[in-house]
Amino acid sequence: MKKHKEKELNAFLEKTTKALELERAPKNFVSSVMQQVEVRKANASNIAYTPLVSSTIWVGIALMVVIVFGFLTLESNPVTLDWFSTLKIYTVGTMDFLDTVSKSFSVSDSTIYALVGLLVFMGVQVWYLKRFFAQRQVLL
Amino acid sequence: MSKDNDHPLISLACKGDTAAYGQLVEKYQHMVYTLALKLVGRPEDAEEVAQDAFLKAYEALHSFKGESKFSTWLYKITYHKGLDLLKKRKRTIHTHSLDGDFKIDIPSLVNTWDELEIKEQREIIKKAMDDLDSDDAIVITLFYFEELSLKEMAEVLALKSNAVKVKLFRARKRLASILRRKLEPEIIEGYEVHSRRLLNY
Repeated sequence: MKKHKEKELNAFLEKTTKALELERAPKNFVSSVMQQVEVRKANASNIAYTPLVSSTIWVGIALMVVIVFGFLTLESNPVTLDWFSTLKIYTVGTMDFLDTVSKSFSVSDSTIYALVGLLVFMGVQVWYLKRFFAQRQVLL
Repeated sequence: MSKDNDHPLISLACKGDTAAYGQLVEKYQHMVYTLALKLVGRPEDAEEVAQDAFLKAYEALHSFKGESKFSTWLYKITYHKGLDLLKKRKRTIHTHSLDGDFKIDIPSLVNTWDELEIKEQREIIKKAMDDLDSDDAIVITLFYFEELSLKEMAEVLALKSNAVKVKLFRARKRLASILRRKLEPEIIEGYEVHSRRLLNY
């Protein structure tokens, strides 16, 4: 009975809204919008995006970093294959390999886990917030 | 892929063809203006909202991925622009609760409606829509005039489909109540003519 009433009401409103006409936008609406679109297009091409640090400079910086690190590591220590065994990669799960990095600098396993967790959390959060604001920007 | 036939125009507009975007503005200007007017009430504000919506859509066109229809996306921008303006003017959307029981004799309304001339029908439905709260008027326009699905309406209004369903249910009832009020004189006149005819027999 209730469903029948609903259907009846819907049919009546469908019939009545057929007589409904859209409001008319002002006469020069399209031309005034398009004028502003043209202005924005011109402005956008005038202020084309130029990165603060050009890609050539980035490549130069990267090369310099590689060269400096290369000199520092190769100059003082002759290359041997023994260094690999000192990393103790088989102890990754226990975080013991960090002992080889610095004997004086000791950090507990739980702190390391906490820091790794924090980094992952921040990474996800930054990604999520970036997406959130990108979507919001479309609407504002 | 875009689900509607605006896709070629959108692609051209993205490549910098403003004439293609002009065609989109031409096509949707009245609907966008109608939505804006239903939301903000004043014609000058509605024009501002509609213009802002088209400009925003133009700027964000490259981010339109075609997951929904272009019209749905455009109405969503219009709706949010309208809300922004209301916020700026410190106004809110008016909504009323449904008062009392809803008891309307639909068949008699249908009969009266059918007897009206098209011009009268247009006047009555326009006045009824003007009397509706902006929230209800938007829902009715999107559903009956633009024939959007509940899912599309949910996207425009940033609500869940179930919430839109409830809104539509209430808006329908309010519109029917207003129409009944508007049609009452015609119904009474109809009864009088009918009873006069019976007496003449």
